[in-house]
Amino acid sequence: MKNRGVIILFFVLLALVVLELLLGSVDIDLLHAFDRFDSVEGNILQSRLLRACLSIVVGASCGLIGLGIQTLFKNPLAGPTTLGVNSGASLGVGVFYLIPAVSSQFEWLGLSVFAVLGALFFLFLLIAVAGKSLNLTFVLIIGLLLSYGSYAMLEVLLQLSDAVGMKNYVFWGMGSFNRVNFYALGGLALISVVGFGFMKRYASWLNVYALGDAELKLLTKKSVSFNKRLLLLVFGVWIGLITSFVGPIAFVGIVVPNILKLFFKTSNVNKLLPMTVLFGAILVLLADLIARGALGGFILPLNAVLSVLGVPVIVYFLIKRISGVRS
Amino acid sequence: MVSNWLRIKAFLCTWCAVFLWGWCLVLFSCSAEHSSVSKRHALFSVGTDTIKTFSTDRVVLSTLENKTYNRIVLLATPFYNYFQALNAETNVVGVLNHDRLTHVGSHVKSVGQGDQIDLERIMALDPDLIICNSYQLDQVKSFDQVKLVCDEYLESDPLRRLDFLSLIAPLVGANEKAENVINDKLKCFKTYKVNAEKMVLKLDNFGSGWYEPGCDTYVSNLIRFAGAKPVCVNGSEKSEKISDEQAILALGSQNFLLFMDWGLSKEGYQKRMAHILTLDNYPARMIYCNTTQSDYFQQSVLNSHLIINDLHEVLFNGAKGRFFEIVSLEE
Repeated sequence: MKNRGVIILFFVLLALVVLELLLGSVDIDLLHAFDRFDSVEGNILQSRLLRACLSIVVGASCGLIGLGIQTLFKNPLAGPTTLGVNSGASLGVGVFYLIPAVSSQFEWLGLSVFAVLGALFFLFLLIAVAGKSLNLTFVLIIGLLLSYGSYAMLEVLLQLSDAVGMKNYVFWGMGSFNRVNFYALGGLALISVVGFGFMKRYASWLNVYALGDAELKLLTKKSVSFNKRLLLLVFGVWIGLITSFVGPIAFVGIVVPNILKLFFKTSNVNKLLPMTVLFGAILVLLADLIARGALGGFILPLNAVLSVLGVPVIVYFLIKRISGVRS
Repeated sequence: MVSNWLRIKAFLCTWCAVFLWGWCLVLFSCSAEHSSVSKRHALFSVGTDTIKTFSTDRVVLSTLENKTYNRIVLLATPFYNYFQALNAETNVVGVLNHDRLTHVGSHVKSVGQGDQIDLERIMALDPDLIICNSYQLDQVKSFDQVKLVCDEYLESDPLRRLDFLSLIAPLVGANEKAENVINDKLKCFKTYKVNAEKMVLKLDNFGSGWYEPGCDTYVSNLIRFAGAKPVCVNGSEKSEKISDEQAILALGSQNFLLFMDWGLSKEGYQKRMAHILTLDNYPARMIYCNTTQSDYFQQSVLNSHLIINDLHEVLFNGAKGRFFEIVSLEE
């Protein structure tokens, strides 16, 4: 069943990649474009190729981070947003765009450094406040509080900033693949491969961890606290970098693991890993196809499309959870 | 022994990861270099100071080749008006927010709507120059084409907006035409002495609070040019948030309240300004501006004198103008 699932997802992804290359707001002759890569049609094809690769990288990463965080927190509704890391990255970007002195003095550092610093700062704050035991319910609450704090600070910064900074920040927040070039794609792909490696390495540990503390003590000698901190750090840096380039990507981290768990009736991280990569990529590819007007003709913000696709799923899980608790 | 080995392995793995991440940051800095260059250029041309000292327009032009551009894409939509004024609209092949412009030639294609830029359509047009705002630059920085970054919308002085003609003229080989147009437009601007007794307040509420325009904004300058005194926040170039108390105080002590309606017809405008009407102490006389029902925004690019004269007539003679009219809220 699992293998069949992976194969089906792989072919769906392949079909979407072909669609991503074929469809767009402009009709191109694909063969001619492949033939002459430096022509106008070739450039359009290159941009579609870039977006397809980026969608796969971003979708897979967000899905994996979501799966990791949900397993770590033992909460199906946990995600990068609930951890506060996304908000940290947003605050970093806000500091860069909304404080003119910062953007003029430190522009050589680039936006991504600020986003990662913001994400890491929130992450360390989270771990420091949560204490040695790293109680995850406590971490979740602090994550949410940090998010609120971040929004409040951003409100103040928006109030104080100039018109250009404000516009820059608002458009970054809508999420877009337009800003990414092949260099950034290479970096993000590398990050994602490293992240996937970590997930693969810790998948068995996460499986045992999901069983409960008693089982964990029996089956593994590794320090639980150290592993939790390490995984949180990995997820923080990973999502911080993704966020810095494409803006905060909504819902993928929550939706992808939940659908897969429901459909394949398994919580085994090892089994879910390849499917999460594929399904995350599928979801973001589909959203990008819609967002860049390839299907409907309207150009839409990526986050708006992802929200439309993701919100019903989250509502469904909430209702299911509530009815489960009642019964 | 095994435990030690595991610890060493974990330590090594962690450092390998840190090293790989370091490499990623190097890769990112490569891409950031591109954005830094663009950003520096953007800041240079965007900054309000630069625009205010616009006689240094070569700062922007220095990045462009001194030649005529025939396939220009405009992401900064208002620039189309400058091309029209120079009879050079044929040099424009694509524009963002195509439907916001009137009298656009059929050869001009749409390259997106709102703030969503369609990169593929831009590529298909194969432009030789892209004119954009600084906040759009990030999205088109991957294009090899020359980009002119200019935040024309930040220019708050109606007269200085004419200077953008001097910026566009060399790009389409219309220097002489630009001079003539500027001179003609300058003659249309009348100087009205500011009457301090005619105070005009523009108050907005965007849901999160009250906003009063800064004294260096376009609307404040319009009011000033029309011979009235704007109620505004000193030294600011944007709308500033004010407290509820300040809003109530401001409303109670002004002669005129300026309401810039975004409705497609005048009907129901009182509903659209309900946030002001709930304050109770609004002035009885209000200046209603039909921004979206008229060509107000288009005229504000190069023909601010029309708007200024219109506002002056309404303020001082009570006439019903092309853009403004006095309405009584008591009715």
